[in-house]
Amino acid sequence: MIKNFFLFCLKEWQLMTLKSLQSLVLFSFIIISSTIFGLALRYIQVDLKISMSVVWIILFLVAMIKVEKVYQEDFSEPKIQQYIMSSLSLEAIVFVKNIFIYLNLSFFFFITSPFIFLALSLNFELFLYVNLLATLSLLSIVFISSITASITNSKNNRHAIMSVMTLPLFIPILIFTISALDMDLKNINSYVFFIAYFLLNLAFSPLLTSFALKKLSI
Amino acid sequence: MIKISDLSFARGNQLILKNINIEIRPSEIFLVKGANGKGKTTLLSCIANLLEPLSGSITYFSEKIDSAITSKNFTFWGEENYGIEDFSIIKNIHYWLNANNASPKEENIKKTISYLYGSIDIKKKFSTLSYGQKRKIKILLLMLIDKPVWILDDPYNGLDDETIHRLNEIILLKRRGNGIIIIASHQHPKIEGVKEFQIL
Repeated sequence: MIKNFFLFCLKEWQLMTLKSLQSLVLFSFIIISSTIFGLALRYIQVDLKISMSVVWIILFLVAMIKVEKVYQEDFSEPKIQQYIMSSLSLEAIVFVKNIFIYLNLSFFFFITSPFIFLALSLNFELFLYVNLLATLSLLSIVFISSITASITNSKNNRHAIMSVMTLPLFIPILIFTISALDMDLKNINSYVFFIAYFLLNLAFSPLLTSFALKKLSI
Repeated sequence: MIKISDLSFARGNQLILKNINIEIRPSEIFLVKGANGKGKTTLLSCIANLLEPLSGSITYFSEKIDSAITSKNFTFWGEENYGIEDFSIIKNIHYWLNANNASPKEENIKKTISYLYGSIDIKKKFSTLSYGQKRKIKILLLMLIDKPVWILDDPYNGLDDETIHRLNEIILLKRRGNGIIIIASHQHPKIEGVKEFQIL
């Protein structure tokens, strides 16, 4: 059982790697948006917090689109039926998929972040800290987005509107990212919120996502 | 044995199935017939525990069906393909075998592939296969995962005569092995001793 689960995870990893082109296109969108923002405000002294807010909002969008795309393809009705009938629980499958989406997005953020720093003329001393913040934020973003995606993929459009209710869950991530910039980024305490928020999401998100997939998509 | 007692199912305000009573014993092939929209797929989905009935019960050897029972004993084959488009044939097979905790020998996998596909490049991408070839993967997994109960929704759709003949051979083999086969189809499987049930 455990061996098959790990083999299943390996296949999921391969599947996510095959979908990397999607991520590349989405992260090109981040670079282009940051460049436009940087060019538009080149004569104004822009606060680091404003630049970071812009990056984070685009990151929310990119992560949501990515999760949405993956869920549309990987959780179509016949596939959900097979997952439910399989030996693995749907919650475990959702968790595995989310983790690989997260790893994929984090990797691409790391690759593209030097370009974002250049476009927004950010201080490269913050490079590692911003990446750490993004890595921690993305964990929660992906898990919340999975709830949103599972509801929007519903068969009934009336239910799809309910996905808007999940959007406020992103607000604390933005608020605490910006407040982390005010604090000492070298201090581990600046990142504790993200870990706590992720653990909270980890407890509820796979359950809510799989519940929505079972009840709304079949 | 699968026993369905007083099963009713409603979608919204519409009652789709009303007081269905069925008993299906091991070594039985059970054909569900009915006009379009009468609830054949819904009945199969209820048996597979994919949909929750409005009332009534479904038991498998006197135990009320739940996800643990269905995942251990039931294989559900819906109308649509569930193969992963980005994967090759062989990767698709391994993916679904791993998800179902099935570990057949590589030799058996190769034999089953050549039985159904003849000579085919197993590294061929699933998205490049024809509709019929995509459906063959379901038969292949049916054979390799091999759970006691097969629930097949419109299994003959999109298959050529030769594959239909092979599928029937597999179904007969399953019946001989004390399996339960539930089929929803407009097409009669052309197998003797099929028990029929008409949804009105």
